[in-house]
Amino acid sequence: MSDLEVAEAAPAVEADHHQRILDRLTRELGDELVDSVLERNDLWVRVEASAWHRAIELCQRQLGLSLFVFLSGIDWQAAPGLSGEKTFTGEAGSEEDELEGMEDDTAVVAEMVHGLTGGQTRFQALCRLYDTDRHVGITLKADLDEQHPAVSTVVDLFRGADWHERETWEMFGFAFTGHPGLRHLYLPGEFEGHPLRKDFPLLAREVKPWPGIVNVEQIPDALDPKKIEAARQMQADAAAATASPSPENGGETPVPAEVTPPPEVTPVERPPLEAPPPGQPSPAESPPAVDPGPLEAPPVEAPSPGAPPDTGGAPS
Amino acid sequence: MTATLPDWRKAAYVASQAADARVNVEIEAEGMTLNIGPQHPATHGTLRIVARLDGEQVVWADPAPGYMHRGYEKLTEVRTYPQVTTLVNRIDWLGSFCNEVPFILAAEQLMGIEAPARAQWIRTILFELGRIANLTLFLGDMGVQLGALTPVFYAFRDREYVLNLIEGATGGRFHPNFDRIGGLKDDLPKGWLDEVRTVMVKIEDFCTEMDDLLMGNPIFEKRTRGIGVIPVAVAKEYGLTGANARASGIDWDLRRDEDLPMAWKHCDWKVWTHGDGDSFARYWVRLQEVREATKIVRQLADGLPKGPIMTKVPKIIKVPAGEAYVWTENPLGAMGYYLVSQGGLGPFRCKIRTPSFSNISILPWVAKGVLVPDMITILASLYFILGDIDR
Repeated sequence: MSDLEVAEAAPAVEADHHQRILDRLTRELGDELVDSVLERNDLWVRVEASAWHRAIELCQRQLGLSLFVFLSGIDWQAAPGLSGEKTFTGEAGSEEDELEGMEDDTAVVAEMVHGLTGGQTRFQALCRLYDTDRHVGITLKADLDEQHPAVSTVVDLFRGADWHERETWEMFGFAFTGHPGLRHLYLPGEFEGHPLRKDFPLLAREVKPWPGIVNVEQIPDALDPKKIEAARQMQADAAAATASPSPENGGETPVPAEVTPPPEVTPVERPPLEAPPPGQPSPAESPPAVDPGPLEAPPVEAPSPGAPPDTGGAPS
Repeated sequence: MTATLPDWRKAAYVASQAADARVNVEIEAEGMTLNIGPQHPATHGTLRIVARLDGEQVVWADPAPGYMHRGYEKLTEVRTYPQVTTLVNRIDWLGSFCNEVPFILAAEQLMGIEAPARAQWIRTILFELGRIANLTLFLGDMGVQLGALTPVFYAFRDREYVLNLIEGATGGRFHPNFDRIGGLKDDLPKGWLDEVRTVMVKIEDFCTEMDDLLMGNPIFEKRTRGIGVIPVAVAKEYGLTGANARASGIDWDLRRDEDLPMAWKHCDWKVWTHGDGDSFARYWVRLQEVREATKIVRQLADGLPKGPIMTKVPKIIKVPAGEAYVWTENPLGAMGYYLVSQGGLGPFRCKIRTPSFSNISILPWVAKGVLVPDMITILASLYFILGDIDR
C-alpha cells in the first residue's frame, strides 16, 4: 500500500511568468497592445488586428508559448431573441423571487457589453497559446471590423490553426487573409449564414419557446414526492416534540442531496424526477439531533491500514 | 507494380481491384481517390477521409468531419448552467464524466466557489474511472485495426465492470450527468468503494493481458513501430495533447501541472512519456496511463475524506460576468472550456476546446506518403471519438 504523500506539489504558476510575457509584449508591440488583464493566474491581451500575426509569432518564437490550444471568435452583440428568455431580474441569491425571475422572459439586454480587456467592435478573434515547460497560457484577442471582419492567418506559424480558422470562418464569417484554403469544415457547402453569430436564429427555439413548456399531468398527492416529504417532516417534527425537548432542528439542517434543482422546474408543473434512493435515509427520516458530519480536511498522512473502510453512504 | 504491365493488363488489374474493394472507388488516369467512410469501422463514427492514392501509397488524405456536428457551442447559449452538463456529456461519449468536470470547474472559478474536499475526491475517482472506461476500449480496439481480434473482447468484458461502477454511483452508464456546480448530485452508495477495489484488480489484470497479447507480438510491433512518427515541434504546432503529446516526448500532464481543485495532487503516481512518437509509443503510453489510473483510484478510495458533498450555492445559479479558461487532462487529451459569462443564467459564449479536433487535424501531415493500412494504424493510434471532433 503506497503512502499518500503529496507526489509533487503542483507547480504553482508564478505570476511573474505572466508578467514577463506581458512586459515583453508591451515592449515589442508598443501602442498595438491595446489592453491586458492579469487575474486568477491567467493573462488576457488585446492587440490591434494589424498586430495579430506579429503578436502570435512573438509568443511562439520568443516567449516559449509553442503549444497551439485553440483559435476562435466571439460575437459580442447582445442577442435579445436568445439570451433574453434567460434574463433573470431578481436579486442574486434571494430565494423568494426566483420563480418570478424565471417568468420574465421578455426582458431584453440591449447594450453590447465586452468582456475582459474590453473591445471596440462587435467581433473579436480569440487565440490561446500555452507553454508546456513553464505551464502558463495566455489568451490573445483582436478587434475585427464589423462589416468585413478579417485578420491575417497564423497557419504559417501553427499548422494546426488550419482547421480552427476554417471553423471560425464558417461559424463567424471571419476572413483569414493568407489562409491556403478557406473551405467548409463542418457545414455543408451550400450553407448560408454564420451560425455562431448572435443574429443567426436558432430555429428550434423560434418555433418552440424555451424552457420547453409542456403539459404535464398533475401528479396525485399520494405519489408526489414533495407532498410525501412534507408529510414525513410533519410526522418527524411531532415525534421529536414528544420524545425529547431537543433544540430546534431547523438551525443546521443536513446538506440535502439535491441543492440545485433545474431552475425551470416549477412545483406545480413537474415533480423532481428522482425520489431519494431506498438505501439512503432522507434528511427528514434521520433523527433531528444528529449533527451533520464535520468537514474534515483531506488526510495528508496515510490512513492506518486497520481503519474501517469508508462506505460513504450517509449524506449527512 | 502496375507500371511494368502492358496497358490492357493494367486496366484489367485495376478493374479487378476495384471490383474486389468494398469501398467507393473512383478510377482515374493517374492514381485514384479513395473515400474512407463516413461509415467505416476504422473511423469510430462518421468521419470521412478522402484519400488520394498512388498505388498503395497515400498522396494526401483530407478528413471531412461534420457528419455529426450538433452545434453545442450554439446550444450552450440558450441553456442554463446546470443544463449544459447534459449537453457536454455527449462530447466524448466513452468518458462522459470527464467532459462535465472542466465546465463545472470553469463555472465555479467564475463564481469564486470550490467544491468540498469529499466532492473533489469523488470527482477525481469518477474522472479516472471515465478514463479507464475510455482507454480500455482503445487498448482492445487498436488490436482490431491491426487484425488482432482477441483483445477487443477482453476490453469490452472488462470495461463492463467499470461501467457498472459508474452506473452504481451515478445512475448512468454512459452519461452520468452527476457533476453539479458546487459539488456533486449525490454521495456514493454503500459498499461502492469495496467494489471499486475489486474492479481495479481486474483492470490491472487486463493491462497485463494486453501487455502479453500485443506488446511482444512481432506482427503488432512491425505494424506500429516507426509508423506515423510525430516530432515534438510538429505536435505542438498542431496542438496535440494527452497521450499523443506524451508519446512524442512532451512531459506534460494537466493533472500534475495545472493547479486545479481536484484530488490528483494527493496521490502518488507517475506521468509516462515515450520518446519515439510512433504508433507503438502512443499505444504504450495509454497502456501505462490505465495502470496509473488504477493506482490513483485505489489511493483515493482508501483516503476518501468525510464531509459534505455540496457547498452552499444559490438555488438559481447565476455566474458573475467574466471569462475563464479551464482545461483538464481528459482520456483523449486536454479538454477545455473558454467560458464567457455576462452575469446571466447561461453562458454568453462557451468555446469548447476538444482534444480530438486538434489530434485529428494532424492527419493530413502524418498520413502523407504512408501505405493505406498504415493510415488505419495511425488513425487508431491517434485515437479519437467522433463526438469529440464534431461537438
